[in-house]
Amino acid sequence: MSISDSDRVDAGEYALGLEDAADRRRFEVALIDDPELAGVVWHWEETFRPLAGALRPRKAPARVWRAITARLFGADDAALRKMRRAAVFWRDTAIAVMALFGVAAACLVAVVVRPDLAGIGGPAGAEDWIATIVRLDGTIALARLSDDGRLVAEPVPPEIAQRAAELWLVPASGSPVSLGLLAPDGRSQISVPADAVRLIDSSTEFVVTSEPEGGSPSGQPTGARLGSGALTRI
Amino acid sequence: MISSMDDASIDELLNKTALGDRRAFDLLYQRTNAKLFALCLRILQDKAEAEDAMQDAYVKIWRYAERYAASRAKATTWMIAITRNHCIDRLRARRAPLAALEAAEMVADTAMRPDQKAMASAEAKRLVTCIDDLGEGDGRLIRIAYFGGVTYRALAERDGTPLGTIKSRMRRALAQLRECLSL
Repeated sequence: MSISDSDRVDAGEYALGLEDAADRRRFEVALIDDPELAGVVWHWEETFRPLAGALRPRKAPARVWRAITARLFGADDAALRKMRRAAVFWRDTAIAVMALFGVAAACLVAVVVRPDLAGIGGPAGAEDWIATIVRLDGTIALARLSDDGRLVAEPVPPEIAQRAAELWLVPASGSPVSLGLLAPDGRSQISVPADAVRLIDSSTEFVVTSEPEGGSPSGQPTGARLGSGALTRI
Repeated sequence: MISSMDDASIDELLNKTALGDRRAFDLLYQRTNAKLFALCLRILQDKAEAEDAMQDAYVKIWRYAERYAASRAKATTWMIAITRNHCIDRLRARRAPLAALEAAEMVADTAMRPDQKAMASAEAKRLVTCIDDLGEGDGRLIRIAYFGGVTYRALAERDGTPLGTIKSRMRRALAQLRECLSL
């Protein structure tokens, strides 16, 4: 695909952040399949870099570094390693998307090391399933399925108003099973039916799709895929 | 500025950070924090907010370092983009777009002229020349936008100008800038 002059100006608008959120998201959708266009965005970033580079340096107070290391490494190292292993299960495509949107959308979440959500620190010996769901806007949600069949999922704001985000469990073979709609704000607590729990193994995938308000009318995914993630036992 | 001579070592430190090397991350922070803190202060205009933004930015840098290679950007550019985007998000979350615009304009007029020494590299000089060629009005808007003040909507609201008019004006300016820089 060749890049038009207009595309290059779009990329410049995006790099400067002139558009508001909705238009930015639209541009990001175009970026997904177009690494060449993404390259143009990076070229603009590179071009404008001297503006940032020309600022007089100001050393950050020592407490900033202390806070960073406390946030990153303060948690039990073993717990951190556990989370890292879970992160390996990101899908390749998701990683490719993140490479771009992680920065471009500026809403990075990364491997969210959240002991409460990941089940770390729970009762010893309890095994939980965890899914890292990578959304198209570059954020990653973690969904946890605990032994009692309760699923705890991070909020998924709808891409477009009047649409809802529906979570599906997709077994290695067989049809997707709807797990319900994700709350646009606040954490969702979803009770997963027992027969759906039985479908879960390490090849199961969680997928979030955009559906009409109230959920897919057909009981099967109809809308665009907003994000997906593998499920793994931690 | 972070000179291009340092670029290579910062690339290397970021690559090692991607592998989970905490020492490399520590060095990376030591080498880059003054530049990124200056950027956060410039955008947010508030020391406490800038410190919080720095924390978030470096947490992201650590967690996303492995994805930096795929961006094919220079390490410093990548880190600046993460930090700048994060600060701009914060700014927009904190203030109405119009208030953010007014704040950014004040900064633009007092402090946004980079000093000659800092803009010594050929690319920097070319950028300054090309921005100046846009004329006072448009050039200033590009600078303000870079430091987080401007959205089309805020500009339109302030000037009572239709959104489309503002948009085509800025798009013309960007196209001209691109031509001048032969992008």
